[in-house]
Amino acid sequence: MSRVTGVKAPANDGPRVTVRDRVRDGLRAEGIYKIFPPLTRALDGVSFHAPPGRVVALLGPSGCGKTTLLRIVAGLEQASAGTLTMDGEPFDTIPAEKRDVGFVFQNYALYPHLTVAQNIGLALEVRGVKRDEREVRVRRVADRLGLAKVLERKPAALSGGEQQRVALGRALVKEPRLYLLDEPLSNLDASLRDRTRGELKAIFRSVEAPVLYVTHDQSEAMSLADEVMLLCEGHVEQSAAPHLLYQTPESLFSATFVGSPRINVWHALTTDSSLDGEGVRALAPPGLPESNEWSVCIRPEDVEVMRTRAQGAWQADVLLAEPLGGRELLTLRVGQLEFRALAAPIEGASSVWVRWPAGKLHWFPKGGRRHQPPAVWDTLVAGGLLLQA
Amino acid sequence: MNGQATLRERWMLIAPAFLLLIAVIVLPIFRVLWLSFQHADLVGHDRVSFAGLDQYLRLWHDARWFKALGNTVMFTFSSIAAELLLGFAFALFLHRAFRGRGLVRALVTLPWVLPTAIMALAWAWIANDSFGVANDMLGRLGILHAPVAWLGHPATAMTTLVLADTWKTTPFVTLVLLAGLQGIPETVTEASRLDGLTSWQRLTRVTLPLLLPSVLVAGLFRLIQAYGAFDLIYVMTGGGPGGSTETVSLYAYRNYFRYLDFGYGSALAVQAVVLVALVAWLIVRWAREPGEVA
Amino acid sequence: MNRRRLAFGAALVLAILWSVGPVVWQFLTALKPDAQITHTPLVYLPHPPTAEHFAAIWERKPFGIYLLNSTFIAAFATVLCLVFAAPAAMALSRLRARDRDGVLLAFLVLSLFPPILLLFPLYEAVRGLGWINQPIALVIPYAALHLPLAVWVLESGFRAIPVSIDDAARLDGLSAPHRLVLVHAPLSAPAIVTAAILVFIFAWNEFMLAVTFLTRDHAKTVTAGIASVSGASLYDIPWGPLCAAITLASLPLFFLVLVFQRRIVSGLTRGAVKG
Repeated sequence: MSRVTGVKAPANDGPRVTVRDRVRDGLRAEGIYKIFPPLTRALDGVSFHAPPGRVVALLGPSGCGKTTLLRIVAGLEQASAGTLTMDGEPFDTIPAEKRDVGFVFQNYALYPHLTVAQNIGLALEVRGVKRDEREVRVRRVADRLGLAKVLERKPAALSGGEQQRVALGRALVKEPRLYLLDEPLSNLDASLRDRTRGELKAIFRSVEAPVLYVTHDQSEAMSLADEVMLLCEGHVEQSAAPHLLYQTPESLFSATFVGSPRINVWHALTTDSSLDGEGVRALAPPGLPESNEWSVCIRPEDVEVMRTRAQGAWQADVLLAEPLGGRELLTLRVGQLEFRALAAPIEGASSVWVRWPAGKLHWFPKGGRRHQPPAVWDTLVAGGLLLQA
Repeated sequence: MNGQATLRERWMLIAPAFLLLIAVIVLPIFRVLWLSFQHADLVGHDRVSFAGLDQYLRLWHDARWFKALGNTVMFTFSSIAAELLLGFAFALFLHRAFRGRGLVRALVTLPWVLPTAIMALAWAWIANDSFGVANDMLGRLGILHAPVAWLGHPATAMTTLVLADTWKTTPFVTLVLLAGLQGIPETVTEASRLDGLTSWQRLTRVTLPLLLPSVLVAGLFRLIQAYGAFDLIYVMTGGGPGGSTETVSLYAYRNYFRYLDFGYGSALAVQAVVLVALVAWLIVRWAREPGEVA
Repeated sequence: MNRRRLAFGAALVLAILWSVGPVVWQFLTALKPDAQITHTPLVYLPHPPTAEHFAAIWERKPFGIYLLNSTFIAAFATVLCLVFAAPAAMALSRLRARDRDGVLLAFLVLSLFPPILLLFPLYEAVRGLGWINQPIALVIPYAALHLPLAVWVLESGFRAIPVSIDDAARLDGLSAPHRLVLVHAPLSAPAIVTAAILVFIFAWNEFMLAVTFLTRDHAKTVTAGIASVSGASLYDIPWGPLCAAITLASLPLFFLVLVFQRRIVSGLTRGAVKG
């Protein structure tokens, strides 16, 4: 015993947490389940970490459980199982009234009977903040959000954009421990949505608390978040920085949900060292199991389109050409396989030559995670995936 | 956990209301049930003792109870029938759009918000044999040739009571039926017009069947209220003349406070509730029969 | 077309006459000198009108005290009823539909028991507590008996408040009582007014408990005070002052129904139509 006196054994049961780390740890969720009787699993064991000052977007189609997760974090709903900690301390035992979160509701949920100033200031009032300080803080937030002129109006007299900013101001004025935003831009029209997105990004950059941002709009998630957490049917499909999520989707769901225009998917079976599906055959990379179903994906901007024949390229019929300013979105067909390509304008050509560069392909076995063919294969089929119609 | 906190909060919010209802309604119901199985009176028995079903068996030998029951049924069904007819007519008027409808609706609602006990006096004055306006008007119209002592004869006394009750509670039926009428989609009425139904056919083939649930609701509420009617009868006739308008409520009240027979009074009150609950249940069951609109 | 409009107008006039005629008749009688009240054939319009009966009621009976008692008891019962009903309605409005409807139905059933069933046990309690002739003997029962109605009316008002506003208030740190006062009450003021008016009217009009629990003349409410003349024979009643009293006791309700007609109608039919 005396041998270790004064010597602190290094903690080997996980990363060491010092007091300082704990204070600034942010929000952690561990194994959150939400089961609606009898058997609906709205959340199926979700874990994540939202550090201070970081924006985590909860992205997913409607019904994936993202709003339920947000409401559980806020304390408005109770998880069936799992724990929440905030800066290292239990968070789920605190009632919603005392969690000190800034929540922005999809429909804003402004108090219709209170003025803008009262809407923003109510939380401070019930916390016993003195009138003078309250007014200063409300005014500061209002100035920042461009609401100074409408402070004495009721919500009904505001435009949609102003209402949205009041909802945001109500969250900001509290300087809460955590920001939660539930589809805050979905009720705005397109141009206002783009502008507000920029403003939000600037605001997020200045806050010190973690931000959870629920959206079903992948472009919103990509542009605002430091980390995008993709939810599907109650579980985390993939969680990564936006560019990584885009570049290396871990599953077919990730690949197809993120990116616009949508990624191309070719469903094929492996037979003898080749891939076969939808009237198209191609050489399979080594090591693919026989008689296995694969989804081979490529983003439209990665498809190479040429006006003349080139080595390893195959001919495709042009079904549709949609001009998008500098480039055209082409809908092409090889065999029965239809896919899209984003390319320089082809000026009305009825057929083109295309190549799927091997390095740009994403491989997903049926129902499985991303598969990375051996690097050597890239060079073997330098000209791209050899499709044979 | 927080969910339990929410649950506890909800209970804390509802609990005071529950406690108040338990203290003022639930406990008295149990007390009166208990009393109805006791000998408890200040006349024969000086102490409370268990009576079993004695008090209820007494009912079978009590001609006065049978008479009161008959009076109650008579009063209840006559006034409900009159109220439904009149209320339906009023509702049809008020359903039409016209200028000043709000004011008319307020005036038609008026009888319902006035105190029954006081308006009972007002009707007693109207029905007064010497100076009542009823006799005078009927006389001038040539319907009556000599003044009638309305509250002095059994048959006319009951008629007067029914009339006064109809006046007092028709607004309730009117408003319920009016709400029902307003719940019938306009397109349905329009469709029936285009189908070539006459206004009478529209009324009987379309409006009435669709209104049946409202009629049922109004009728059930009125059944329960009229069956327990007290104020009007207590003030206007006091059950007379000769017990011809005594209802079970009144008879129970007399047993409590005049004959001081609390056990029998309780049994009377309990059986009244049981009987009306039975009738209400039968009506609801009949309405829920498959094929009926309910 | 014109004939139909005429018939409709005539029917409306009849309906109005039927509804207000009996009240107007009391008023006309009250304005007549005694000689005209007991004159045959009947004198319909007072000539000249006299206020003597209206003056007399304050002297013959403590009519002013009746009015005060009724006002005090009805107002106090209304406040008490709402104080108990509002939190319950708030909790119910956020329950699952099935649970909520179950509780509301139970409340409705409780409110349907006829007062005669409760009268005697309540009388025993009131006497045991020494509350005979005390306003509280009526205030508590009135609040309880009309609690279900108040809960019904308030609950449907509260339910119309979006859940997200309630959630936002919670996240702003408002406790349940805070939310009730700062959010629910202002946002459903119409429902609160409706509930208050209905409870007030019912309490003002109640007779059976009042006439049983109040024996001293100075403790009586308007209904118990005026209607207790019926204990004597109806034939030697001073009809002039009585009609004046009836008119005065009806007057507050007359104004209530004129001003709040829409609220009263909606509150009255809401419970019935939903059920």
